[in-house]
This record gives sequence, structure tokens and C-alpha cells, in this order.
Amino acid sequence: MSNTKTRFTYSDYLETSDDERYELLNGELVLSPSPKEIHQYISSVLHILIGTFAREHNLGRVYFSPFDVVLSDTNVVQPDLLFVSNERTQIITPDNIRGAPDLVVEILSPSTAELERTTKLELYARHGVREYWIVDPSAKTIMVLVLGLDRFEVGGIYGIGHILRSPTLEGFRLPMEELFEASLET
Amino acid sequence: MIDVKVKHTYADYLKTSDEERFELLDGELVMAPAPLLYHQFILRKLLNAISGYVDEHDLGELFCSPTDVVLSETDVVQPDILFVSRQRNKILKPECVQGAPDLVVEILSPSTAELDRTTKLELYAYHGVKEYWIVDPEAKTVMVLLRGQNRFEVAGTYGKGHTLQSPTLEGFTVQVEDLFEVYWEA
Repeated sequence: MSNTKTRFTYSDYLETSDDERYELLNGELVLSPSPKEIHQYISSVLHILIGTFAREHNLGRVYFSPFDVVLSDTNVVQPDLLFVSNERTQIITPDNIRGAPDLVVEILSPSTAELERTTKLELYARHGVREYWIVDPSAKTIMVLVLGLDRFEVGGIYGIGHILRSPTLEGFRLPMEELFEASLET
Repeated sequence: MIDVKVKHTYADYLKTSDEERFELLDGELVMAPAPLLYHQFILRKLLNAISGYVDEHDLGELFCSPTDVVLSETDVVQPDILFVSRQRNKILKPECVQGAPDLVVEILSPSTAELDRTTKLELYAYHGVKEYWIVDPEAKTVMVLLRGQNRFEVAGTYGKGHTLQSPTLEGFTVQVEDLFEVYWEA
């Protein structure tokens, strides 16, 4: 990233128009385009499944985009889905999440795929997100990354025929067919 | 004709038609379709970049698909690119590579994306491939995975404006956007 550019902060971010969604990545304001049907479909199914599991087992809170996660003064993201465990609810404020969620889920879309795989992956590792799922609707896979000492480890990559498991949501099982087989062909 | 339902071995694999490309994954014969032009474009760019470096520093041998890599009696793959270091050239046989290459590169294509990311990741980790690059032509990114204790770790994910580095090919760098830039409709 060019250091000649102006670096924006959270207070600049708060002044952006409400009509458009932005994220603040390493001080740069990045516009989030409107998501496609497949993206929203997967988001809603995941929200139901993860949300229900978290409620039934009283594990913590689940939120979906748009909701600000303030990782630092120059990094503000709106993950597609996030989970904060009961032990860490002090990071939840009326306006935003202040710190790293326990689990972050991002669903790739063609226009943001590069960002989710590069800049955000590095951000989440640096700020201590314990688990990061990258959902790829075109490949019909979910990559589960788990934070090791200072970088993410590949916990697993799951496709049709597999059952996804999450180290953070202990006991959670997601047969991948439930997510991808019912979705409309695009 | 070979019954594709039963568990196959390397001997069965060798009997398949030369006109069609197969891989043998956990005893299952999987057909590898002819790749897209853009896939082949990226393959050439990558090969070009790595080849010069490997020869210049006399690091080992570099091969591209179709080259049989026999990981076990029931696992035979044809990675897009593979590198075997000088110290490990014992695994080079007249008709195949007999064991885990030091570095494997897979370029995703729509039909194989799920396989490359799920089954092959596990295979490579299990059989001791040290480094695995997953090239995503859609996102225009390269994910560099490095084998840790028993699973792959994300050493880096590189996109536009990034310089890819490889722990196995020490000192090697490539500008990631150069790999994906085409002047025709891809």
C-alpha cells in the first residue's frame, strides 16, 4: 500500500455516507459493493445454522453484516458473519465490536475475493481472530483457518460430501450439502 | 474397461487410456478435464518465472503437468507444477515422481476447484509435501501454504501489488499481478 496516500481513521470512517458501505483497511476506505443473491443466500443459511447452535448451547452472540468491527483506529471491517463467545462479550459495545471476534466468516464475491484472501486474512491474523472461514460459492468450499502462534493454520477445507467442523464452535457440524446443493444455479 | 467403483491401484491407473487424463485419489479414478486457456496462460507465466530461478541457482528439478506423482499405491496426482530439490532427487524415477515433491502448485479451474482444495490438500499434507501453492485465477491470488507439525500453515496470500515469496525456493520472488495480466478476453 502506498504510504503517500492519506491514511484515514475511524473518525473519518464514521463521516462516510450512510448510503454506501465502506470498510477501513490499513487506513484506506474501501467501498463494499452490494452482494449477489448467492452471497445473501449462503449468508442467511449460515446465520440460521450458526445462530441456532450458539443459542441452543448458550455459547455467545452471532451478528451479520453490516456491523462494524473496530480492530484498530485504521482498521474497521464488516464481516459477513461473526461470533463473540460469552467469555469475551466485553468487546461488544452499543456502536460496534471493539476487538477481534472469536470467529469471522467471509463469503467471497468476485469483486472482493482478492481482499478477503489477502488483506483481510493478514488483518485477522494480526489482530488475533481465532478462527476465519473463507466461503467460496463458485468452488462450493469452505476453508477453515485456525490461528496458530502468529499465523493461520489450515484447519480443513470442506466441499460437497464433507462435514465441516469448527474448533471454536465445539460440536458444531455442517454437512456441506445443506449449504450448496439447494442454492440456485447462477 | 475398468470398473470405476472398486478401489484402484497404480497398476490400474497405468492401464487407463492415454487420450484421457486421470488422477488416482484415495483409490478413485478421477478424470482431469482439459484446462481453460487462461489456466494454461498462468501456468506458462509461473513456470517461466520459477524455471529461470531454479536453473540459475541449481536448486533441483521442475516439472509441469502431465507428470505422474505417485504418493502411494492408491494416490497418484498430476500437479500443474512440481519442484523436487537436489537433495531429494532420489524420488525421481524414469516414469514418475515416487514420493512427495518439495513444492506443489495447483491452479484452480472451475471443474477441479473443489477437489484441489479439499482432497488434494489433505493428501499433500499427509504425504509430506513441504509447500503448496493454491493459485486462484478468479480472485487473482496465490496462497502459499507451508507444512507445519501436521497441517499446512498460511505462509502468505498474495494479490495485486504483492511480491510472492517462497520458503522452499529461498530468494525467489515474483510480482503476482504479472501472472494474471492478459490482453484478451480470459
